[in-house]
Amino acid sequence: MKKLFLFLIIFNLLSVNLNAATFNWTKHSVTEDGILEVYYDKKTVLQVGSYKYYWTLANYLKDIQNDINSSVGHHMAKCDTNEIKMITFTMYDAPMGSGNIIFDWIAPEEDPEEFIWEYYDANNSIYGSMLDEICKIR
Amino acid sequence: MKFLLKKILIIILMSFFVANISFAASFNWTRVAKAKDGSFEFFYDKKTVFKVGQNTYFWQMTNNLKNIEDNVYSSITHNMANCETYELKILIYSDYKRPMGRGMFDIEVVIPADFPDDFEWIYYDKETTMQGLVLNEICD
Repeated sequence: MKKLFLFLIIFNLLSVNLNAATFNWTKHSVTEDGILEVYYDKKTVLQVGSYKYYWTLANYLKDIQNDINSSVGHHMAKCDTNEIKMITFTMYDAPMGSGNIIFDWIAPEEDPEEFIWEYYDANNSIYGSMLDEICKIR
Repeated sequence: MKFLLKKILIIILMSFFVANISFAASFNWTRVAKAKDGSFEFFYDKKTVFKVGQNTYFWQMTNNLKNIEDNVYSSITHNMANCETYELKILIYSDYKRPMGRGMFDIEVVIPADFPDDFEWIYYDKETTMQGLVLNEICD
């Protein structure tokens, strides 16, 4: 019992430190055509002012172009309208946000005209259904 | 004694789960520094520090303690940092009518979209500036 007690305390302390700088991806779903799978990190979901902010990961499973196998992005969302703006993108040549960086992209800086609210249907798109799930997080 | 240990164990387990659940959508601010004149203090959230690509991203909170203007007592920003050069850009800015990012929020902006001219790398010395101290913490 004492050992278990000690283990739990150490585990708790370690898990806090390990989370400091590593993503903990939760798989949301794969597209019907099997081209794309998307993840988000629950612990990065934060309500700041009117918007929800969160980090996502996408793995490109088929039809790989320009050697882009995955991307990590920071999104802002309006839960009342299911709209998203994608703020940053980083593309990698290996799955799960690993390997070499192909490019870093700050959407509102690089392409301000494209930095607009886009509606994603919760029933017809994986980003929409993922947002629906994210918006239900307290 | 065994009964007492079991009780403590259950409490630890429960607090562990509750802490993890509640963290899902709330900040956990760590104070880094307070200005010498006591006018403001800087916090960041350790669990929001992520190295993605070339940059390190994190959420930061500032409490304005003196010379309060427009009733703004605090602000929250999402920052990107270059840890090699100790430079920083602010991506998101929002300010609040109460300390610790509470109360009514006033301004919410995406700096590169709303104020593109202000979206530039700024160098902060880790010895002489408070923002440099924050960078020193997040880049370590």
